[in-house]
Amino acid sequence: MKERYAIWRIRFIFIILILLLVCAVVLSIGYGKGINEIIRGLTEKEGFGFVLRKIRIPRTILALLIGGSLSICGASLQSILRNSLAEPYTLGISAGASLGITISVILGLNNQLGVFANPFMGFMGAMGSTSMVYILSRKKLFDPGAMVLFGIVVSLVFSSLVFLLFSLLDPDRMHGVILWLMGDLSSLENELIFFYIPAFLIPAFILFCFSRELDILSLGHEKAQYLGVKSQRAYKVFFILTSILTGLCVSAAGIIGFVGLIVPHILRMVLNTGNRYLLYASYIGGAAFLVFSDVFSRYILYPVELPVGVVTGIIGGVILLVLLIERP
Amino acid sequence: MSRQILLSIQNVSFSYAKKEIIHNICLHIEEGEFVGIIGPNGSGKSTLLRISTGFLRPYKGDIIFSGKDIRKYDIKTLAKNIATLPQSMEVFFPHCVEDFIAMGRYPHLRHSLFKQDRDMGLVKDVMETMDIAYMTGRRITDLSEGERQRVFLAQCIAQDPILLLLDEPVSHFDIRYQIKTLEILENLNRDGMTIVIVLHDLNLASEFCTRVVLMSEGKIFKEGPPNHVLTFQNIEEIYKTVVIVKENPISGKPYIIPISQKYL
Repeated sequence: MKERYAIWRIRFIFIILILLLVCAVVLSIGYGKGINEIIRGLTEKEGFGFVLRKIRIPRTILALLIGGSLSICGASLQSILRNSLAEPYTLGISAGASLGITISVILGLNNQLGVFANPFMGFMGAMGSTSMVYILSRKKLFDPGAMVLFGIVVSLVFSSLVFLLFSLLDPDRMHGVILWLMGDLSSLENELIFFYIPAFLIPAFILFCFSRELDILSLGHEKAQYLGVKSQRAYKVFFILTSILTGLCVSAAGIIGFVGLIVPHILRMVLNTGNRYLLYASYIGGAAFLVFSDVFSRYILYPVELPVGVVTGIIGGVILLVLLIERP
Repeated sequence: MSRQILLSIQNVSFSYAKKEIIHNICLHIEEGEFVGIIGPNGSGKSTLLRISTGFLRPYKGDIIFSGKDIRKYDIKTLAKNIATLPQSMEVFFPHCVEDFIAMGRYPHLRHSLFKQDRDMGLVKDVMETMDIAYMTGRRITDLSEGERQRVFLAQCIAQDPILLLLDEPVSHFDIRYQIKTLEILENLNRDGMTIVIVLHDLNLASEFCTRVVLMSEGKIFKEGPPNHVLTFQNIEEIYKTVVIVKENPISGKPYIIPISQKYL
């Protein structure tokens, strides 16, 4: 009886998440217009149809991919570090990625090496900062608390390096880079979306496959070894996967904080199951959260568009504070 | 009738932060034994246990499990055969109890990317044996410390090991669950599971273990059946505490009564 209740509870949560996601997508694609008009618009060549195909749909897809990826990165980092404050942003992975991309932008690698230069440099930067955290933590035997502290330190150092580079940049180019850094979904180049879809989904799929290892790593590396998981190797795998995803996210839309922290945090409280369901739920929930935030950022001060990173930072921060205070 | 040696600790020394914690220990665990490791705080009991699992690497000596050096085992094969309950386990996330116990099945499951079978039937049986079926559906983070410890133990038992290594598994329990848990372990032992258990309570060690190992300052001071090791001379020498050792009228095993300084 109790087991059946648990299964229905999980199903119920998933149904709500999917409904939220659908609402978010409809709002984002057809703000102010109904589903009928969206469907009619899709068949049009000109006018609203053009806006849909060229701007709103790619932008929504990107928001879905980034929101989902950031929250599964957060969920898995929280499990292996056994700390609910871990996420790409707090661990310095985002800062590393942004340093890589800033270098790429300043050197104009985009023009020389093509559109993949930014995502690639983002990944390299993310790997750089993650490796630093990894090497530093190895000395502390991967103590979870120490790892988060190292992450914060590395994050601050890398952000300072980014600002150092900015100060060397001429002011005209700075504006664009700063906007991007604050988290901006609007500057998507359309041809890139066909690269982003598989690039985001493949690492995410691999993460889903490792959900059982994540559960076991959340018991600490000693117990993980007793259960047959090589924790050091697993750490490397997860750090590489989260670096790839974070590098992609930052290169596509800058630094978007709090998504990876708050979405898994809430879902973990309501789901109380292992990581298998948590990762799926986080993907859907994170995607919905970011799309909602994007809608919000576009229309709250219409026609001025806010950077979405600012919106997630404010909404996420407030929700997190409330949760932390309310918790017994 | 000589039984096969399952785990053999051969001339092992271990040091941490330039301090030698284990000095040249030899210990052989035979199949089907129920061995209790006792000794004062800091005598190296937990370290010895963690060396036996292959988690800590000694700088000298070998650990042989089933005739093969423990370092040569694949970590997953080892996990199929040895289950270990460390002294402190912390839980960070609100898994429900049955999912938590199901993690113990991990080394036995086929590693498939698409199918994740979880042996929930076996988990249910273990929960019945451990008398924790009433916790089904509850979050592990909501349980009391004693309840949690029973869930951790159930996870180890779900691992279905040949050798079970336990580091103070009953310290959080009231006497009812101390006895109950050790009885469950005794039954598992009777069915063939070899058990090595670090215990603080000398009386529990005396009552349940077929052999006790008394450690002191990184060495084995005495080992053998409880009535040989748990004499008042040995205990007073190692624990620096005055005790009276009597015979339990029911089981015939030694039992230890500490005497406070004020009566001396």
